[in-house]
Order: sequence, then C-alpha cells, then structure tokens
Amino acid sequence: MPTKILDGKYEVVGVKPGKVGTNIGVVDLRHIDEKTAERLVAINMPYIRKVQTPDLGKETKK
Amino acid sequence: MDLFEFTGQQGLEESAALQVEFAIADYFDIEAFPPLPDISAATTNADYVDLDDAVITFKAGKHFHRFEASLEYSSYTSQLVGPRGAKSFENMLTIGRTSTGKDMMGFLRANRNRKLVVGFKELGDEQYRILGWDKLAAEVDDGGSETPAEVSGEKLTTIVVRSIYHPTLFIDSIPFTAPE
Repeated sequence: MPTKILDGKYEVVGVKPGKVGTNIGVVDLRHIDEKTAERLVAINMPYIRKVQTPDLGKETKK
Repeated sequence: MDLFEFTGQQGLEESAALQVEFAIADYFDIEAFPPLPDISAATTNADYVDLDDAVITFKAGKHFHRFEASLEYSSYTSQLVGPRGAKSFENMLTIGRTSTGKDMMGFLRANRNRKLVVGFKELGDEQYRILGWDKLAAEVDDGGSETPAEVSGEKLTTIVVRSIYHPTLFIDSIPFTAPE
C-alpha cells in the first residue's frame, strides 16, 4: 500500500518511506519538503507520486 | 542497433573521479530486474544503456546498502575485451577507503565471495551506474588492505568489483529502503 506523506498530497510507492538514491541525491522520503517532492515528481522519480485530487468543479444541476 | 549522431555541446558537468557513496546489494536480495533497454526503440546512443526511471525490485526487507569510500580513492574502467568481432564489456570498479579497521576487515570478510550488484556515480552524474545484472552478478575480483611503514604512506583498503558482458547501465533511482 502506498504511504501518504506531506499531508496526503504525495504518496510513496514501491518502498517504505526512507532513503532512496535519486538524480538529485539521496533523499529521505520521510523528511522531504513539498518543494523537493515536486522536483522528484517532475523528474519522474519512480518512488513518489502526487495524489490526484478529484475534480470537484462544475456540477450540473438536474 | 543503429548508428546515431553524437554532436553538439555535451557533458557540461563532466568530471573525473567518483562520488564517495556507493550502493551495494546482495545479488540474491533482488526479486526482479527491470527489462534491459529496448535497443530497437532507441533514438540516441544513450538509449542503449539508459534504464531511465525503471526500478530494481527487492525481496521483502531487502535493499541497497550505502558504503562511503574515501574521496579520490575509487575508480572505474569499462574495457572492451575479447577477439575482434566478439567484443564484450569487462567493467572494473575499485572502491577505496583509507582505513584498515574492523569495519573494513568485517566488510571484506562478509563480501569477498558474495555475488553483488553495485551502483555508483561519477562526479557530476545524476544517474546511478549499475555493475552486475540478472544472471550476470558482479563479483569481487581483487581487494585487500595495506598499512604502510611511514606515517606519510598510503594506508588503504580496496575492493575491486568486476562485471562482464553488459556495459554499465544507467538508472535514475535506487532504493535504500525495503519494499512496502
């Protein structure tokens, strides 16, 4: 089961939250900030993903 | 595999020497290797060796381990060996640490015969380079410990890891924690 981090905005997938070696260095997924999480998502780091929030936008009235 | 161009500005971060931290895994701790690069789908030379964001999957509770070597005591070669027309890669990674204490002795004892998969980066590298692969584990080819007579001499423990056939493969990320 993926583990949610950063108030549920991101999920750690494939590994338990901890150290992973990445293009931007060794990061500890338990202790990263949102800016780093965004960078990791942007470079397709495979062990993190952004949680897709459902679109609660336009609701059609019946 | 095709012949591709290789022109233009490359390698603005290029540097000799390796980063001090190595990633060492027991070959038998790995559950599954990702597929090798699809050489029929390549569009650049780099695609032949680039695993990109693929993952090496470990067995439960297992992962790569970090080993910190001494700065500028580790090196790497990748040689083409064999007769003309049957060339293969022979990769040799030397990891050096200026220590001969019980941590180093214990490390040599535990790993001198272990089949390994090792990851490392050159200075300026973003991706890890991997030695050892599925059915072609890396092995310890040489190693040892030396304490010189003079205080100014070279005190060193080294381990030389060798892998064959595949060139070193490039991968973005490797796990230092166990699978979920």
